[in-house]
Amino acid sequence: MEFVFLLDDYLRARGIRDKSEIKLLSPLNRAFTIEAASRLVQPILAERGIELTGFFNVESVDPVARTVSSLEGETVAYDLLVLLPPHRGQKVIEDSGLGDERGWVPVDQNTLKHTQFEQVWAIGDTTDIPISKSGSVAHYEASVVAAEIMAAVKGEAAPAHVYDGKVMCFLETGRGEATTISFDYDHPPVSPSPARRWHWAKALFNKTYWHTVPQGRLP
Amino acid sequence: MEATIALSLDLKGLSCPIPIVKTAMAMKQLAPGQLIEVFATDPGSVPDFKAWSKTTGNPLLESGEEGGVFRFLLKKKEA
Repeated sequence: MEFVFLLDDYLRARGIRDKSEIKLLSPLNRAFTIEAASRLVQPILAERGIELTGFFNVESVDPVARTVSSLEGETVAYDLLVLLPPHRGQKVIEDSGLGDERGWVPVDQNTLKHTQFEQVWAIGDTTDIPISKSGSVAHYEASVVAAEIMAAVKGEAAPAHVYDGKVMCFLETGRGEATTISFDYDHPPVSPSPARRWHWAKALFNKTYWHTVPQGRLP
Repeated sequence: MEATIALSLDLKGLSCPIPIVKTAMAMKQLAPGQLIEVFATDPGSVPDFKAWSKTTGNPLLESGEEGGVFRFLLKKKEA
């Protein structure tokens, strides 16, 4: 998503945007899997002249003819194809016997405890929970798992604090602006209007992350 | 009399867009007019299957829910 906005910027800066077409091919009939996030970005896509093609699940690519075809039967020609491969878990997890058939570790979505094995927890992009495989997820999950492990070692009852599905990320919308997307299991995302301050907040966060978050200076 | 179901897909526990992707893949193996039933647990799959059927022209014959499991019956469109 950020790529198409930044590509739009780049092509405008080069003065060749009017000679270019940008198409966003999506597996669903919207830009994001999450409805509320789609409602935020789709007007921006339209405003920038970026065409959204829904229900385009890539089946094959012909790099000689420069076409990409979908399971739904559509074919689109391209000069540059930027394709996200299907996500799957790590081979080490598949080989360990702890993962499912796609290489994710099946865990309880609140305690992050393995659904079959005792004394095994997982966080971040290793789990099978239906949420972003993002850094913020790993961050919010880490304290839950740390408390779970401490309680298990001490033989105490499991802590009351559980992971609530919290995700927070910045989203660059181009033209030097960004927004944020923040949600959990029970609350769909509410995003502020794109503004320069969120772009700068993202840049600042990236620069200062190692001095703030791992040290516990930021929640 | 309705045709028998040619393929049954268990997509319980998978979140969107995977149920749509797996169904679209399975649909390729069917002959026109054949039926496929899909079981999913993602609540988002209800509007997604409805919209996917409308967009692709593969009729959604049934859409129901029992005990938190959604069942969709689709027919592959005539070529």
